[in-house]
Amino acid sequence: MVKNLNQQKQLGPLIYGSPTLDAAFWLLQVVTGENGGHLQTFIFNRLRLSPLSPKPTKPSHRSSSESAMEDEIDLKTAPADFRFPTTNQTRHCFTRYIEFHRCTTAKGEDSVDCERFAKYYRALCPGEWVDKWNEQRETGTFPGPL
Amino acid sequence: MIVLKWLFLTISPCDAAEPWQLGSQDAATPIMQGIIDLHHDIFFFLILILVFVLWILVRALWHFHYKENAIPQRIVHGTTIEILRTIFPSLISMFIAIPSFALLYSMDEVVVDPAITIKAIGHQWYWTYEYSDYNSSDEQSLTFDSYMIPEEDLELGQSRLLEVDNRVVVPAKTHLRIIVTSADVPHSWAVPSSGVKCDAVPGRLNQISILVQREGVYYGQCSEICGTNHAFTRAPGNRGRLLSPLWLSRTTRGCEPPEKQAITASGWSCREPRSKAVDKIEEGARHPVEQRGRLG
Repeated sequence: MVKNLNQQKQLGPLIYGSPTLDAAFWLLQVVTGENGGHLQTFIFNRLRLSPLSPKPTKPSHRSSSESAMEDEIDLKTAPADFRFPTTNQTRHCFTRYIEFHRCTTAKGEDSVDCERFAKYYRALCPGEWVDKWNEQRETGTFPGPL
Repeated sequence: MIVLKWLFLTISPCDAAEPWQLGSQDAATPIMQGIIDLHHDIFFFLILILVFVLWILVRALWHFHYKENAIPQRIVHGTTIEILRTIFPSLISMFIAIPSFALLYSMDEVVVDPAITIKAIGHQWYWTYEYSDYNSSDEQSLTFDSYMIPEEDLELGQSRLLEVDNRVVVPAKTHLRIIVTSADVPHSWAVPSSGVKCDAVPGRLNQISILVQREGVYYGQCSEICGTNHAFTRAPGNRGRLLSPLWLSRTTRGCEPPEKQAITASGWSCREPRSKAVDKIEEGARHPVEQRGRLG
């Protein structure tokens, strides 16, 4: 057994005697990024340039400002909140709504800082819920700690 | 030779239920691929156990016949076999449990923040979808209803009980958060090829994270009894048309036909009318960029 281990090529961690298994473990490590995710990054980048997606058009029929804007479009939404790690996000939506209104009472109605919270609760909460809560706030019957 | 090559290039994935289908639909997300792989892992042990038990059973019955074996043995215990029949099933249980728990916990991991949030609100008997990431006030979200197309209105080639008038359009290769709820009675939003099933409970927001890995049209059905037309509520109102990664900038804009292979593999084509969801979201996402341009 010892002789076998000394003779085989060192492809990765010496967990088992078989070189095939070693190679498999090494590949697994590289792909999952434990050894530095270079291969992982490479593969991921290649996926983005997959031939299945439509090829980019030549920018001949677009103005330069448009193509500059296109490069800047990014999709953003309410981030995952560690206070609400589970599937039930009801409290998350409610908490963001309350945070927004507390922020506006503290900083004023048109404060730019509160815009962030507004985007969060609008992304998470159904429109009907927001309408209902707005009405409740107006009539003074909102059940939350505003 | 050329004919054969052409035959193999037109692969169309199974993303809707087929008649007499035995196995799963093709996976469109890593979760579904994990579920299919787990199924294969467990099925191996299942067959092992099945064959073993059947063999022992048939053998015992066969050899218990009075002609085959006039004097049956009177064994009451055997230590070795009792130890073995305890150890082996626990080993098998362990081999089943390890990939199962690995999948279960990896499904719950939130590694990356989602890029877009889509709300699916169940009604009797249709779904409403809201895309509210780019609202500037409480009023403006893109909202639309998604009704099933009744059988008499179907066109040739469309699936019965699966097609809807307005599909949900989501970006492919993007982390999505889908929030599922209901406005009246419990429903359930299920898309088998994405490995998604989530109950829509009134008064509760359930979140699911998906990463759809390929473009295509995916179908699903309501999975919680919700009244007389429960069978006629398309779950995701057929989650349609997942578009390429930079969908906001490119997809149906100039309507450039991709190569033939891409069309058949991805299910995207110029013949499809451009979805107004894509328009609205593109407009919404472009707005802050324009503002930045004007201010900065």
